[in-house]
Amino acid sequence: MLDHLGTPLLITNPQGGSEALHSYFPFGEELFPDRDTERMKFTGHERDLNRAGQVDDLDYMHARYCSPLIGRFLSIDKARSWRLPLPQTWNRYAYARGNPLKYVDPDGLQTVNSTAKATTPIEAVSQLWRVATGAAEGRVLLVDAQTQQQLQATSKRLERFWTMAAAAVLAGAVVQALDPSGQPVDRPTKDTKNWSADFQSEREARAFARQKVGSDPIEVGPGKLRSQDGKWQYRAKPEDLEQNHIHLEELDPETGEVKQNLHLRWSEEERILQ
Amino acid sequence: MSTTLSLPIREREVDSERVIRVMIAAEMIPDFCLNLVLLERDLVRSVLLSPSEGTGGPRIELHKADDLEEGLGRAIAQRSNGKLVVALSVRELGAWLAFFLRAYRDGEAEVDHLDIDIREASRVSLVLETDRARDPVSAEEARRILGMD
Repeated sequence: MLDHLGTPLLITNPQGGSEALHSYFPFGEELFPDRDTERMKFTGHERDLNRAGQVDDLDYMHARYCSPLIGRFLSIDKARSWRLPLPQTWNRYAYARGNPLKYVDPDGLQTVNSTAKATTPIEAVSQLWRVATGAAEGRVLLVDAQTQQQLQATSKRLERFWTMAAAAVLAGAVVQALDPSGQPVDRPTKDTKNWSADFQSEREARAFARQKVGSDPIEVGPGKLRSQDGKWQYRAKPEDLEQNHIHLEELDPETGEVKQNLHLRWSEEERILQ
Repeated sequence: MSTTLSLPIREREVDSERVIRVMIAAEMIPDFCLNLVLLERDLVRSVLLSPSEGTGGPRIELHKADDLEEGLGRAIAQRSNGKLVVALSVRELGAWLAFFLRAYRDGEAEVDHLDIDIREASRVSLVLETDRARDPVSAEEARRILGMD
């Protein structure tokens, strides 16, 4: 079963049963490439598999090869199809005018609009990314809370995701995600004030922090609790506790910018349970 | 073009999280700041932090990622040939630079470390440590500053 770009997403057996589901990043890099030996990949083009999932896998698009990792053709557009009013066409190595959700290139010589609708039950990860990227009209991976949780369900998927996300960033892609809790991610700035305070014990430091985050905080990540109004965050990772400190941060609840980061320290050796 | 700084770098695992600690001693802060400025101004492609002899941590290659939206995190990384390649958001790079420039200006850092959550295949924390930091205030003073009296 194909999506609107002609990419096979669901491979079935002769009885109609599901054999494999495929998910792709916007420019064709496959999210989980080891599912089967299917060679017809992104937009229905044959993928030259050096070894499934390796970065030098290329899509054979007849007139040219295209690299799904960098979203670029490896040779110049021989059809000279650039148009002055369309800056996206000026780069003659670009694939589908930089908009792979809307356009396809059937033969490496032309960019055509894809008008067919998606027809398949698509894995949530793939669908969400496709919808999000289409909305953003660019190379954006938008990952919502549900998807993040799905990805985090298996460590192999998580490993694959972050590795590919890092590759995408280093290749110049815009990557955006939401915190699983729906809260803005905490982010220090050049104006963040850092300071520290000494407490007599871990218990006293934790009580101090809890006073700020309140009795009903939101867990926004491993070891991170945030007050209901989003203004205060209590951060205590195992590494911090080993070093006899925790963090209390004041945040801008709208942006997540860290206004101040207070290190709460104590000198006692004895640890207490949270 | 890239630049290289040799610094004590150590890595260990704490509760299934890899923690990488980089020591920026007071005498190295000017060099570290200069390299961050080169990166910020796009005058170098990357800054390589190389573990000084006997420290045994991974090499860390810092890149600036202009388009890294910070919803994903402050930094994102991947391992390659034993090297940790880290893409920093512009804001994160600015925060590092401001912290270490203030330490240079004042002769001591505001606190003895910065924690950076990095998104990688497994969970990684990067800790930038300094060896000269301002003394902590007392708990009473902290309460007064935060209006918790």
